[in-house]
Amino acid sequence: MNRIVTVFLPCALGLALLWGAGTLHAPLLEARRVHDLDHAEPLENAPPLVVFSTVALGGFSGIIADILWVRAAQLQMDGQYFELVQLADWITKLQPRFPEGWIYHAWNLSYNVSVMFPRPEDRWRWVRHGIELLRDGGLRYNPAHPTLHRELGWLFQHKLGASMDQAHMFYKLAWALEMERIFDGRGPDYAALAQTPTSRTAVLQVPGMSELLAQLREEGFEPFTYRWPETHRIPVMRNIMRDHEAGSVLLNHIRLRMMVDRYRLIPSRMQEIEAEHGPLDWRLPQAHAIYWAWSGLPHADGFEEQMMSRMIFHSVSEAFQQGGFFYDPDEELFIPGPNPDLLPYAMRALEEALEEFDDDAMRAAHMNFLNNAMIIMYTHHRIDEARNLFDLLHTHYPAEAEDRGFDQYVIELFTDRLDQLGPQGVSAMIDEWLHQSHFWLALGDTDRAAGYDRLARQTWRLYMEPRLHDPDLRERTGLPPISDIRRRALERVRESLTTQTARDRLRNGME
Amino acid sequence: MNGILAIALISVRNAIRSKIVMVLLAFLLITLIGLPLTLQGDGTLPGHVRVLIRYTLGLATLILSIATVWASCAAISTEIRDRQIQLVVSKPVRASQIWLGKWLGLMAINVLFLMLCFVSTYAALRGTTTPDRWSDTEIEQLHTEILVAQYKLAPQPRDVREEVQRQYRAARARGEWPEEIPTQEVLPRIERALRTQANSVPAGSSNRWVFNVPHPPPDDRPLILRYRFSLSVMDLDPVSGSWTIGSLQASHRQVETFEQPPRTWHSVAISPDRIEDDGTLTVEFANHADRTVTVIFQPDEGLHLMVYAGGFLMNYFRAGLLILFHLSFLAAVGVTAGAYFSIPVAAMTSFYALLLINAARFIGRIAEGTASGGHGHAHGPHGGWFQDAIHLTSHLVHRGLYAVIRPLESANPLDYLVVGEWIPWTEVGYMFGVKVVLYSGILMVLGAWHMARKEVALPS
Repeated sequence: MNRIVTVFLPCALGLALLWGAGTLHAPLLEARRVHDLDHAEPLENAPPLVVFSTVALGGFSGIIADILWVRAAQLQMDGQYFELVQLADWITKLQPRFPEGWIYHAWNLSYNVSVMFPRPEDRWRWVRHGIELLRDGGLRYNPAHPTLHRELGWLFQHKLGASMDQAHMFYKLAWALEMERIFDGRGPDYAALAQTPTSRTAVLQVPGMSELLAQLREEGFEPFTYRWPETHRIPVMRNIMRDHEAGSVLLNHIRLRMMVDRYRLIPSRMQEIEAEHGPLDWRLPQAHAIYWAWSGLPHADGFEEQMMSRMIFHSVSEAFQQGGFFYDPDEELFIPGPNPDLLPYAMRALEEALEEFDDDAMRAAHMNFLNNAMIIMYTHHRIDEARNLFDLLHTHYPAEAEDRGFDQYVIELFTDRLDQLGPQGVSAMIDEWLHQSHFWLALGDTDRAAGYDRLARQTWRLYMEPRLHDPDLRERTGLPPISDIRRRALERVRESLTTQTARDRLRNGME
Repeated sequence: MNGILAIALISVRNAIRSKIVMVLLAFLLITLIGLPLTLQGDGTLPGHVRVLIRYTLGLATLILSIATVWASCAAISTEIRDRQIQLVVSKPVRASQIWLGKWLGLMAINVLFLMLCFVSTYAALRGTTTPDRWSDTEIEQLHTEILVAQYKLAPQPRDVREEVQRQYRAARARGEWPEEIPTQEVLPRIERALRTQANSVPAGSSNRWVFNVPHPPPDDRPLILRYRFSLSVMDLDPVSGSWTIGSLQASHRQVETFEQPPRTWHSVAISPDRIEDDGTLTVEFANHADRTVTVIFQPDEGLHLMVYAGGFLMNYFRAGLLILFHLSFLAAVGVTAGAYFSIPVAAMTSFYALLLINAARFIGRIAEGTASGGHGHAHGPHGGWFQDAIHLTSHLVHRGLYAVIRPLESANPLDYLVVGEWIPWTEVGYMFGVKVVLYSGILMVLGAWHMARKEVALPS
């Protein structure tokens, strides 16, 4: 009897309480969801460290996080950075539902720590740590937190996209190469991805897949790790895939899994964004800034909504001005530049913003945009569109264009007043534009080559026009014939080219 | 001797039977297996290895320390509580033999588990550094900077004593320092200012330091000049400069130009043939900044030379010995506390003692502060005899406490390992003498003395 009271009764009571707690668990979760007490779902399939820290440590996880945070701050003050990623990882995983922790550490790694390293490749590693912390950690455990989306978007918009960091070109190139490997171009083939099996089981059922996999494994490739092999082995892998019918399915499956699992890029969402904001180049950071702001918008209101809307508008505008991508591995050239196809979308975004915030600052931004856009369209030899922008400017801001003609106005956007430059200055400028024209011709961008060529010719004509009938003035301040300037520029471009392909393109273009 | 060994065996058996110790050792195993698998470092091989060493061994040492304190506190106190001690004390063994037997038993466990920790961490380290995962450059950097034992040399200090005296006299003459501020407060300040000045390089100028390298490394082992600088301005923009290393004769010079940000560590590899015949190495820093900014190397830590002294494994072994000596001291504290008190009180006493030892530097500063009376006391109005008495008591207590715990102060051996710094045998010998022989010996005497006097077989 005594044993029943001391042993079995407490055990029975314990079991009953456990059962009672278990039955209350689901209604409690539902109540939490209904009352919007927690945006995120309960942690499922989380790493053991996170489960341990959130369940086993209970309230002590906060104390441990504080101790680690103090240590991180001390190490940072001492200039010892190698532990910071690990500490940031632990601190955030000890309190995975504390968004400010993720935000602080991502910012700290990307901004404060990265700049302490002189080599761009080291800096990039730290910027990446910040991006990964938010994308793979913060948003995983707080998928509906708008600030986390905005901060991640900001890293792309500002840290990678802007030119505030000395190593920004390195970041852009590194990111572009990484994306290029996945997309094999400016972005995904949505139609092909829609047809691609998402699971490994489904892929294995594709006819011919087993033979392809056997051959790949024979060559030392394991496709289901969803990681690219070393750079020099990628073409070997692709050649094998190209020779098999199932190759394209497997390649698209790898792309899809990498996009979704590693970079958290959902193809359907990317497609929606492109439908709204135009054909983006996903190798460049602006597209990713738009993606993360767009992803956060459904969860945002008030200030956050306003900030993310602005991030999208600014990034679309930036994507037009800097969202084109020229990469020539043979010539070792990486040149981010304008994406003229985005003009209508950038215009629409700007007009919407102008409607919403019609003030002097916004009108100034509008006018600057029209001027910049005009330069871009002109140098890409899209003269009609540039002229439309000029007309628009004339309509909205008549005082700006005054009585100058279209060509003169565009040239003066580059040069201010031609007469004030003097013959050496104008000649140097024409020389530079012709250099640009031949350079782009050699790289195969004939539109841009034609744009710069027109700019050079029009500048020469406008400058020389008043001098044609005044021999004395021509003698003192005239320019050499444009053919002479062209020859010099051409020679310089020829000397700088390193591949026969580029030389052939230049020669053919000149013919 | 047999008696001691028999008691040691019982001690091992009791420790193994303790659920708390077993739980802690289970944590230890989880740490050793699980932690290396979850570590990510900073993305570089050296960073990864540093984190692996620091956190795997650090956490393992922490767990072993807690297990040691608990098991050692329980070693005697539980036997007294459960009246098993009567079986031992009724035998012809002295109290000191009982103490020593308990302590040796715990040390045997510690040696075993510490070996397990060090061997498994080393295996994880070897598994991490496979060439297929990392570039050759990173592997080379790892073996040059971390998996190595290098001694750290500071540059020859400038003799500023005369200048300090000269400036002190001049400042006093100008009345810059009021008479009531004692000389011993003024001189260190002037000296600090002069040392900082001696380690500063204004824009457009240069400064030179000389290192004495008593044991030049082999030709294939470069010396590493490590440095970190601050700027006279608040920004973190990089500064351009150059290091000229070696003799002033052109053929012997190595020039390294750079553009680097402040407040982070940088290093330059130096060929050993730059060392002069007399064993000196001269380095000259030129500040090429195109703005008015002074580069300041912190006098204590801002500039040093790492010189190859030996391989990593022996250093690793010495680090293990230092940790073992620390554990032996903890075991001694716990066994003695257990002889005096029941388990909970003994454990609390031991952890409090450890807290005090870890706060040695802080206590030392308090002792120093109370010695000078602090600014308020020295220059402000006196607070009467009561406050003076409290102040004097506080000073004597802290000073006494500091005198006791100061010899136990030592750098964390893992701090040496993660930067590839050589742990001198003298340090190992000193710690053995202090922690194992002296302090553990004193604790043994105290514990055995109390046990000999204590009536452990009172009828209930």
